Amino acid sequence: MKKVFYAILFSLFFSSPCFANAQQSIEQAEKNLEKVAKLEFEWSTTAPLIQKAKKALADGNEKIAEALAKEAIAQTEYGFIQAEYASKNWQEGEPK
Amino acid sequence: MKTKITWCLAIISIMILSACSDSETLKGDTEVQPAVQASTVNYQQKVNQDVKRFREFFASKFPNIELEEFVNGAYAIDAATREQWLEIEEFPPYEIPVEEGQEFFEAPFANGKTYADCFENGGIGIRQNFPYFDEKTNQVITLELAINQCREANGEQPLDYGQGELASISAYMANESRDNVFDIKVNSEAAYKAYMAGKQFFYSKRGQLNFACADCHLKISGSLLRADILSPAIGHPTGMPVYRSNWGELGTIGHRYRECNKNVRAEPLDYQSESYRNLEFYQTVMSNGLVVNGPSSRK
Amino acid sequence: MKGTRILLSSLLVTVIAAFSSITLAQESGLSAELAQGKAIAFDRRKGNCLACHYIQGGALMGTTGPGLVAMKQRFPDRQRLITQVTDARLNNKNTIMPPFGAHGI
Repeated sequence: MKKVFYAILFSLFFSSPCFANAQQSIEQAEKNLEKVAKLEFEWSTTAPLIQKAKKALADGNEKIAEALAKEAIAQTEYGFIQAEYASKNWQEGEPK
Repeated sequence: MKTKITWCLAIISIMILSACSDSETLKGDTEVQPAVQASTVNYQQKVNQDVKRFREFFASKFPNIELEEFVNGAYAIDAATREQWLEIEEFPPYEIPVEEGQEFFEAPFANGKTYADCFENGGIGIRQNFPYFDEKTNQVITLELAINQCREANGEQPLDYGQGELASISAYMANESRDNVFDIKVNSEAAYKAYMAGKQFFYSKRGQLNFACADCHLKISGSLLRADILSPAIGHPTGMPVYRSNWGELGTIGHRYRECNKNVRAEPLDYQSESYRNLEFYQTVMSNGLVVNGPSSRK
Repeated sequence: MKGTRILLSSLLVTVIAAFSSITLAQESGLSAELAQGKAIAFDRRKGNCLACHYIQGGALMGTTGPGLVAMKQRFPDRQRLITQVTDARLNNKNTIMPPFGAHGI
């Protein structure tokens, strides 16, 4: 539960106006993606989002890039939550 | 502007406060439960209990299906698609890959040796011994991994794991082992750890759609997903490699795992990654007592 | 996020209205929303509800989840139905229904 709390705090922190920056969000998304991939809980939808964000930024659409990167970050955070949840609750699916 | 600064400060202070109160942060690895401590534990016995519970689950879910039928996946439980499948099996689409596999298998490497030199009994009739836990290298060895290890030991380049030549060789080796019974052993703490890791993978929800292997292939197996019947997990590995008509060619179990992961929108793992090998180990143990019927054909 | 919200709410309108006794034709005010919701529910890349559920008028429907009938009786509390679509885990922690809202599916 604590980790979930941190994850939420984390996303709050980076979604706050102090970090309204597409480039930083993209970097954060990539960092998170690497972590969640290591946990083997990466979503197949995340890397394409980051690619789209990069393209949007290159095209000068900072706002769109930012939104896409944020979505990518959110997906990685759900991956963290899944990893955490699975490590504690996976046995619930076992036949009793 | 003022509110913006206040907002930033508030969040930063919360972060600092909570960081001070507890140093635990997001970790980069999952914790593996220490399964057992004492070395006197009978691992095989523990595993056999799992196998028993697994079988009982499917036996009560599909009370009219004999255990040995589960090697046929969805066709074991659905009379309508079974008819079509039996017709296909009269001229099986994997026949040519098996023949090609035999040619590859028998063709000598540059150094004059062959695959037969790498395997017990010349590689014939041994499919049921894979995957096994190798105590020396402390890992699960699948048949496909062993094929590539054989190549590399003889100075050859490894083959692609998903489809093509390696899948054909695997199909030939399975074909030569048909009706041999799987009896995969879990005899040591290390083997049990690999088994448990595979088991955990099987029951863990992942991907954007949040599905575990067990959700579709245990809990709701037998029901329809659109027009497709979800196959029971018991017997999954026995028919590998598999010719799927929607692939239009033969593929290994790793290829199927990757496809399944993609279906739930989880990024697939690498072929023969430790987790996939452990998963195959777990799944094959769960199919102990069933026979090799690979290669097989599926929709 | 806002887009998802709108999509979800029209989806709900469909789910609720499609199974109430009122026919589509009589619900002229809702018909546009209904059509939108139905499109999402039936679209394989969006709701894809038919993968698992029976819905009147659908084709190639799965049997994994319960048929979406008598929704008003089954979900007298509308909020509970919304939760079922957005994050069914909150209604039943062992559900296998994907959390459509929470995961932005």
